[in-house]
Formats: sequence, structure tokens, C-alpha cells
Amino acid sequence: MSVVGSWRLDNPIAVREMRMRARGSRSYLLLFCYVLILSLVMLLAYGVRSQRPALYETIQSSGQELLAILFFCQACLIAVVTPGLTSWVLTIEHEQQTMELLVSTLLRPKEIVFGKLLPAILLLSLLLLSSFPLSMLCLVFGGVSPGEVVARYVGLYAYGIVLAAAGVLASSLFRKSFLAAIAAYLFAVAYSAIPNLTASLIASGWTGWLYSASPNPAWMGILPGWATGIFGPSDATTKILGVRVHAVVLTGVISGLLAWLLAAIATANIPNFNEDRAPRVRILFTLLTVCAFPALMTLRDPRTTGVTNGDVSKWFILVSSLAVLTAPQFSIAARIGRGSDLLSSLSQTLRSPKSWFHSQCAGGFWFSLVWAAVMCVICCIGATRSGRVADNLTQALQLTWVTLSQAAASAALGIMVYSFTRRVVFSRLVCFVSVAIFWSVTSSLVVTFLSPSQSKILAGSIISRALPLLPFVAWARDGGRLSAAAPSLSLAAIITNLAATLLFLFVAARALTRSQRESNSRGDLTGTEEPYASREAVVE
Amino acid sequence: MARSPVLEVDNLTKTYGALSAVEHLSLTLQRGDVLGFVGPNGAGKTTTIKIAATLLDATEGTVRVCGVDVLEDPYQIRKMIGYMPDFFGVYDDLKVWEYLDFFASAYRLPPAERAQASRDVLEITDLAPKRDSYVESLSRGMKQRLCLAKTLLHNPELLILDEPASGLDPRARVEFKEIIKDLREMGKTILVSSHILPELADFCNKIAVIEAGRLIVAGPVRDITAALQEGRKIHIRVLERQEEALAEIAEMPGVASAAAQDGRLIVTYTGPQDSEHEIVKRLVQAGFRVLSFSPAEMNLEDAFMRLTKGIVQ
Ligand SMILES: Nc1ncnc2c1ncn2[C@@H]1O[C@H](COP(=O)(O)OP(=O)(O)OP(=O)(O)O)[C@@H](O)[C@H]1O
Ligand SMILES: [Mg+2]
Repeated sequence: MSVVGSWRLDNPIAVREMRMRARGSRSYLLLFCYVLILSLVMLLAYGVRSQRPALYETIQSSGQELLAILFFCQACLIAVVTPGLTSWVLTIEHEQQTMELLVSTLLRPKEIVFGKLLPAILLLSLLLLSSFPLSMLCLVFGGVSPGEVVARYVGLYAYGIVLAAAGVLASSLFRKSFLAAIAAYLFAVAYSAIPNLTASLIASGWTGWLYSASPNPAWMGILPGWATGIFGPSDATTKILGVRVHAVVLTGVISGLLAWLLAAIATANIPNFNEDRAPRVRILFTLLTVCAFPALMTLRDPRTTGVTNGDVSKWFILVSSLAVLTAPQFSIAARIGRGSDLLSSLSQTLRSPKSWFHSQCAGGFWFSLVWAAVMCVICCIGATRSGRVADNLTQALQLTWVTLSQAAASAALGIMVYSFTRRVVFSRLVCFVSVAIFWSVTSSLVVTFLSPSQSKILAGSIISRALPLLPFVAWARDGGRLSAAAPSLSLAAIITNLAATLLFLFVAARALTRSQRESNSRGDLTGTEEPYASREAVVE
Repeated sequence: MARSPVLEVDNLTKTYGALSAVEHLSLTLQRGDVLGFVGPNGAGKTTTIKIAATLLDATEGTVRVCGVDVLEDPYQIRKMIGYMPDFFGVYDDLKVWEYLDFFASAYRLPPAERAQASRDVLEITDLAPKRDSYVESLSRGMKQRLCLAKTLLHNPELLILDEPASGLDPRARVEFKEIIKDLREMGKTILVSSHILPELADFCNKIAVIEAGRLIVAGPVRDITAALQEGRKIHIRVLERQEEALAEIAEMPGVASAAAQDGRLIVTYTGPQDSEHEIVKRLVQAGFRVLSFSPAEMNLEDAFMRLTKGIVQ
């Protein structure tokens, strides 16, 4: 009973979860969107294909190309969807205060994890199955063997299952869904990127990839090409202990083991559900980030000696961009009431919307600033290590201030978006999108005006570089040199950013005051904290 | 099998860092006992209860349910107890019967018995008409009863209810009390915690008062209430010669003080309850014409306040 029992399909939790999922509209919407997006992409790819020769030189037949595009697209969708399917499954039990009831039943931790994982895996299967007609279409175009299609499905399925298990693990580590979601998505990015990135770093001389202008495979490698074999033949075989093994079999086995390991760790976490591990995890991740930075700085283009301007500016920019992009998340964290409220003790004494606003938002705001500042200091230290000390320092300091002001503006933007909406999930989405757009536009502008070779970048079109980090990559390619006009332009950038910060904060404060007044007139002053938590629980 | 107590808490201690939430607590519940576990906020009730419900590890001491140590086999313990936490949520997208069906299967009831079990517990908790409603549409009191229903599903020997009546209106409280009385009739052993002593006094047969982690008093309700009534007031009216009567009473053993007020004699009596009548007897023998003799309404609330006041910092 014990071993077989925990893997039975009539797992009470799985039954309940599926019942609840079937009642909601999300699964149906998800399935519809999935098929819609895939169909549109295929339609587009087919249109392009009929007018132009192959996108990749390595791909010969149109069937193969369409199949590659289909699976690349599917892999991206799976990477986006799967963490969202599972990263909340255990945290929601905390959020709706049902964890104690669940844990005090006779269900073993193993069953709880399996019961949470199973519905997600079934939904995943449904998504993959729904793309089946499209992959059959590729077969029709020729050049593809049925075996290859099956191999890609196995790879993709294995990929999805690992991400699903990682999501459950993340949700066993945290008490808040959004923290778990961040962890799960971080894992998804790392899991998708690391193998590709490593491979192409080795291939391109470690840092060469940063200097290339066209989106090269390393960048695409952030997306889950690894599992689907899009950048290599999916019918490759490897010799293990003298036996020829199909690469997909290997992928399946390794992924299966990995998923099992992740689920086992989640299982081990369940009996200690009383503990809140988030503080420890937070410290761990912060430490890792801080340690990772000097480690990354040692990665260099082997063709050069000593730390170059480009090295310093490049890593500085990458890491501080990360700080800026995560800033609104921390604003939200603080808003929900779990952030490190630096000012809360100070301002809690004044019971006004303004002080409430401070105590709720300031934690995230300060966090992102402090983080960006730490990164800047490390950069400055790095700068002094390189050849032309004075030159580098001036540049680094200039960029420090530009980036700090940008971090402030991003955090303020996050707070502003948050102050307008009561739905946590929705505002998180809007936050991300608006901060990404803000960051892209401002950094494009900064790069365009601060870089000596403006024309080259403008020609490359700002829109095509709308992904947050790309403008700086292009800038780093120029050797990270600022133009002669840089100091005054930096100052302008800083002033603009600070003005934007103040504007965002002002608007946020206004919005909060208004909503406070409304809730006052409705007479439910007390319930400011709790409805957010429960609403999130409902929405997620 | 020798009858071991249903719940046996022995020298239990739980510390959180420097704070000790529970200190050297011992309790025993025999079959059929209904123990009221009373204490102010932060007394350590929930902590004790969670340890008994296998959700928290004790720092020291043992807790046994029907002779089984909670550390030894948590799953066997969980089969024997029904635990209702102080704060809990419900699954929103489920109907009442589905909610119960989920917990029935989580308690490993065979599929064939689940429907009957949920029907039974709905009957006990007066929720039968709500069988097909969504859980989220229930009122607070109904949700509380539903949670109680869930704890009864696997027919546990011992019920551990952590403040089951908190947040209920007076009528719902009375209804809840009735349900607990029914469960007592059914022979369940129950541990029920509360802030409020009088609320428990009429359906518990034992009371344990805890404060700052320490047991203050424990024992049968009658003893506790008697002990709490120490120094209770008695109002006496005599037709004439009030002053003389006062002097007479003041001399009697067990009388702490006596005073005249608004034409009545107010006597503070510390002697045993069953010798109160001696006062009347003596007055009558001395020739006083006693009009009325009434022990003041016992006020458990005051007594509880008195009991637990000294220890709070
Ligand atoms: N996880 C924890 N960490 C630290 N201290 C805790 C923790 N849980 C409880 N305590 C402390 O233990 C003490 C006892 O708490 P407990 O919840 O058992 O009290 P209670 O009698 O149930 O109170 P209430 O009537 O408010 O429910 C309190 O002082 C509380 O602050
Ligand atoms: Mg309590």
C-alpha cells in the first residue's frame, strides 16, 4: 500500500484539484491560447518560408524547419506556462489557511506532492497533445521522420515535467505564491539557459557572444532549446558504456531522475510546513547573487589581457539591469506586507494614507536601491583593477548614478502600478510589462545618446532591441566607451529619471489616498491587509 | 487492554528561543471527559493543542493518545484524533459534500463508506440542507460547523477543538454548544479551548486553566468553580436588629467580613459551600427573623479575571 498507494491515480488531492481546475476557466483559456499561438506562428512561418530561403542554414527541408519552429515555440510556451501551473500549489494552502487541515490528515507528504503534481502533468499532456495536429502537418511537408517527431515530444514532455516538479519544490520552500513563482521562473530560466549558454560560451570563446550584434544561438539559448534539440539534431546518439543510446532516451532518463529528485526534496519539506524558510532562502539567493558577480567578472575574452573597459561596463550593466527589473517585485513584496519594511516602524505611528504608503512600499524601494548600489560598488572596484583606472572610474561612476536613478524610477513605477489595482496577479503582470518597456526605452535612449557610435545603434532600430538587456549589449560591443558629451547627458538622464521617480510616487500616493478615502467611506478601514492575501489566493 | 487515558500530557514544555510557550504542563483525559482548556491570549493553548495534534514537536515531555506517544507514530495518532484548528480556511471552488468527500478520502475511508459518513456528520452538525451549496457561500458559523463535521468524519476517539466558537454570534455559540453536548452524549472525549470560562462551564466536566504556559488549576468543574468562588458574597436581610445580627455573623467561623448596606447585610464567606446554611441556622436560633438569604450570583468571569491576573506581566 505505502509505495504503490502514494502513486495511485485516485489521489484525493489530485481529484480535488482537478475538480477545482475544471470549475475555473483558466485551463480552458490556456488551452485555447496555446493552440491559437502555435497556429498563428505556424501560419506566419509558412508564409515566410514560401517567400524566403531557410532561416537556418543547417536545416534543409521545409518540414524540418516548420517542425523546429513549432517545437521551439512550444518549448517557450511550456517554459512560461509550467512554473505558473505548479509554483502556487502548496503556497496557496498556506495562503488560504488550509495547510494545517491538509497536513493533519492521513495523507503522506509523498501523496500530497504527487497529488499536486499530477493535475499539472495532465494539463501539460493535454497541451502537448493539442499541438499534435500541427506536428502532423510538418510531416506532410516532408523531410521529417515520425521518429523525430516522437523524439521531440519526449524531450519537450521531459522538459515540462522537470519544470513542473521544480514549481512544486519552489512552492514547498515559500509561504507566498509570488515568491515561489519567482523562484520557479528563475529555475526555468537557469535550467533552459545554462546548458545552452555553457555550450555556446565554450564554442564562442567565452565572452565573444556578448559582442555579436545579431541574436546568436547563445541568446536564443536562454529559451529552452536544449530539451527540444532545436539547435542540434534531435536524433543524435551517444555511446554510454559501449551501448548506443538515443539522445532523447538520455534526456528522458535524466529529466525523470531530476524531476523525481526535485519532488523528493519538496516531499521532505512538507512535514516542516510550520517553518517559514523564505528568510533563509532570501539570504541564500542574495548571497549567491553577490558571489556570482565577482565570479562572472573573471569570465573574459581570451584574446585580451587584463580587465578591459568593456568587461567592467558589461557586467555592471547586466547585473544592475537585473536589479532594476526585480525592483517592482520587491515593491510588491513589501506591499503585501512581508517585505523588509525599513520605514514601517517609523511611520506606523502616523496613521495616515501617506505613512501607510511609506511602510508598505518603502521596503521594496530601498531594497532595490541598496542592491543596485552594492553592485555599483563592486563595479567600481572592478574598474580600478583594469588598465586606465581614472578613465574607468569616471565612466563607472557616471553609469552608477544613471543606473541608480533608473532603479529608483523602475521601483517607483512598480509602486505606482500597484497602487492602481487591487488584484495582485494582474498588477504583477502589468508591472513587469511596464517596467520592461520603461527600462528598454530609457536604456535605448541612454545608449543612443551616450555611445560614440550612435548612428550604428539607431540604424539597428530601437524597436528591434526592445528586449530589456539588448541595448546595453550593443553598447558593450562598442567597448563600453562613453562619448565626449557623456557627463552632461548622464546628468540629464539622472535628472529625468529622478523626475520620473517623483512623478510615479506622487501619482501612487494620490491613488492610495483616494482608495483609502473610498474604503473609509465604506467603513472597512481595518481590512486593508487581509483582502489582498485572500484575493491573491482566489486569483492564483 | 488496560484502559490508558485517552489523552495524557506529561510534563510538557515547548520553548521558542528564550520564550517558553508551555512549561511543565500535565493533563489527563479519561474516556468521555470533556475538558475545557481556558486561558488568556498567548497562554499556550494552541501550542499544547498542536503538539497533541502531531503538528508541532515538543521541546520536552510526552503526549500520549490512547497510550501511543505522538512522536512515535503520528499517523496512528491522526487516526484517533479529530483536530479543528483555531484559524482555518476552506477550499472555495468545492461544494459541501465534495469538501467532506475530500477529507473522507484523505482519512482513507473506503469509497463505499464515504457518502454515509458525510451524511452522518452533516446530520450531527445541522448542515444537511447545505449539502450541495458551495463552501464559500456558507456563513462563518456554518463554515465553523463544516470544519467540525470534517473532524468527525473518521469517527475519532478524541476531539481537539481549538477555540471552536470564536467569532460566532451568541446564537451560533449556543448552537455550537449544543452540538458539543450531543457529541459528549455520544461518548466522545473532547478537549476544547477557549478564552472564556463561563462559556465552557456548562458542558465540560473538567476544566484546566492555563496562563503564560503554566497550569494554574485543573480538576472537575464543580471543584474549580467552588475554588473560584472562594470569598463569595452572601446577601442577608433580617426584619429588625440589623446591627446585632451583624455582630453575631462577624463572630462566625469562615466569615471574612460583614457590613450593612442598603438595608442588607453583605457577608463575605470563605468557608466551604455546604456549610453556608449554618449562618441562617445560627441567626434563626439567635431569634433573628430572616427575610431572605441569597448567595450572590456566582460570577465566573470575575473569578477568572482574578485567577489569571497575577501572572500577566
Ligand atoms: N511560531 C512561534 N514562534 C515564536 N513564538 C510563538 C510561536 N507560536 C506561538 N508562540 C508564542 O507562544 C505563546 C503561546 O502561544 P499560543 O498560540 O499557544 O497561545 P494561545 O493560548 O493559543 O493564545 P490565543 O488565545 O491568542 O490563541 C505566545 O506567547 C506566542 O507568542
Ligand atoms: Mg490559540
